[in-house]
Amino acid sequence: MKKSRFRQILCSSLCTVVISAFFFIFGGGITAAGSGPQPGKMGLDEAGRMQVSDGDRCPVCAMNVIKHPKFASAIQLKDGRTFYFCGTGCMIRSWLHPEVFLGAEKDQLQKPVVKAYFTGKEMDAREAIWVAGSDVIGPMGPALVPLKDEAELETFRERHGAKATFRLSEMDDEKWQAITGKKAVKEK
Amino acid sequence: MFYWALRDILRRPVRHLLMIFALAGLMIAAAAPLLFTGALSAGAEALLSDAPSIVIRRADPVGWQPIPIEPGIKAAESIVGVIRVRARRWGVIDGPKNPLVVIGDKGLSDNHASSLPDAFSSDLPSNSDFQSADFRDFSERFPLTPETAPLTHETVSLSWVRAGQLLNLPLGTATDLGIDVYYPQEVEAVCRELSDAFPWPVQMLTHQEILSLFKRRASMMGSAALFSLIPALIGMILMVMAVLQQQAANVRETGLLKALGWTARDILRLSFLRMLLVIVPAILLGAAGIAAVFYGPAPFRSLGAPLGLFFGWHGALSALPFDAQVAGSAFAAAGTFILLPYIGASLWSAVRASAAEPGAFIEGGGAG
Repeated sequence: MKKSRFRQILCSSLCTVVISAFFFIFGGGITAAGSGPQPGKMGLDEAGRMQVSDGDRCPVCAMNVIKHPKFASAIQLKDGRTFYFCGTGCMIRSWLHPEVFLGAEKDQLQKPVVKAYFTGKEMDAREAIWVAGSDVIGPMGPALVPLKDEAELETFRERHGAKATFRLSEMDDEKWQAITGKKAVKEK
Repeated sequence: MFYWALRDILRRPVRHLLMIFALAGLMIAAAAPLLFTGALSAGAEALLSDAPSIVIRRADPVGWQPIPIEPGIKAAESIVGVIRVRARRWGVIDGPKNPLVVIGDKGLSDNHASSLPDAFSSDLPSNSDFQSADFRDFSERFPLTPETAPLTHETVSLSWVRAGQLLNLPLGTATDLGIDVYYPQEVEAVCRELSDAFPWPVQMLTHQEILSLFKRRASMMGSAALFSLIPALIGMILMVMAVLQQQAANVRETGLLKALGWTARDILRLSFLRMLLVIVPAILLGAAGIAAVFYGPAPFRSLGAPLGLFFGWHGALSALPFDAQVAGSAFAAAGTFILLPYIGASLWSAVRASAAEPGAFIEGGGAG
């Protein structure tokens, strides 16, 4: 009887120690993650190219951006902060609703950067021709693909199909829902 | 007790020295396949990290033909999705002793040259196609990093022009074109369009196909290296038998010690110390041997030349790139594989001897 009582006390003490240790070790991380979207460790370089660092998280889905270099994109704010995204879809959602995903107002947006699909060369996302509904898959599923010009669009259409094309300036919530079938921001 | 054990070892120095050498040799043989397998996969990774997405060669009905560089690059670059085209010169030629793979490096000037594997650094015949100038200093521009050594044995890099001469490539032509695309999923579509873009019949090999070819080769080489475990296994069995037999021969001595008042614990301690005096030098010698044969200078590596026969190599082995993790785990595994049975056999004999009656030993009954 005494032995089983002793065992119970030992078990509960051990559990308390393990749980306390867990919160002690990971508590800081949880607090940091909960404190809002974090900009990238490094901003765009002098030539306007992305400088993704290990640990830069996508503000929309929290994926590690450096693991998805082909589709990585960025938004630079006027105050110098740069947010990096795992894919173009996350970048466009943030461009539409920076107050939700970046904690910044729309008039704070400076420059969206993407990599042109065929060459990987970085370009201003506002200059790209965007394609939706192709067979290209990005980190978050069917990809929104940025292309440099009409010639590339023609080739891309032949190779991968395209249900819709658009410019970033034409994108709004309605168009986003029409293209993806989902709302850009979840209703509370 | 230690001096007693040492005295015991020194009473039969040749036998124990042979045992130390045998254990060290078996460790080296057992480490070989593990080290080779690790080095092969690191080599393949290093080679393929810079491999083009598509390799394109001109193929006429009579066979491979040199591909004209300028029109070839122009045709490839006309395809959307191609981001880089590299003309390459490479091929197999008759070397001084055996065939060599030659790679043309644009970064090397014509009278400066290249690296030559250690195995070929001497004894070049004067009437060879090669000039001694072809084999000078190792250049930092050598396109193949040391990690690739196990896969690029007998490969030399020469200046672009010199390689063209040796490979009989006309001016302005290359062996093939390496084509890079940004997205791997574009490869299939680009391949389709490339075959229409060239004015000659061409044959293409994608990165994925190159990867599977390498994997197949690496797995074949790894399996071949596993054959070296067979002699190690046989050697280990013979050694265990030798240890058991040796202990059985020492029964009279054990009996005398027990009759003099030695306890079972003393006998066990003595056996343990004797075993340590064999194992520790064997481990040190094995480690030194592994370092010399696989990572050391060419004269030492030539000791491992028989292993190269599994891969069709000639002369000394290529020095394996040192990776502490691979080397450490191979050493530990080989040590365990060889030493555990030896330790087990020694201790088993000692336990049996310590438990038996002294009278039985002295009368020649043995330990049972």
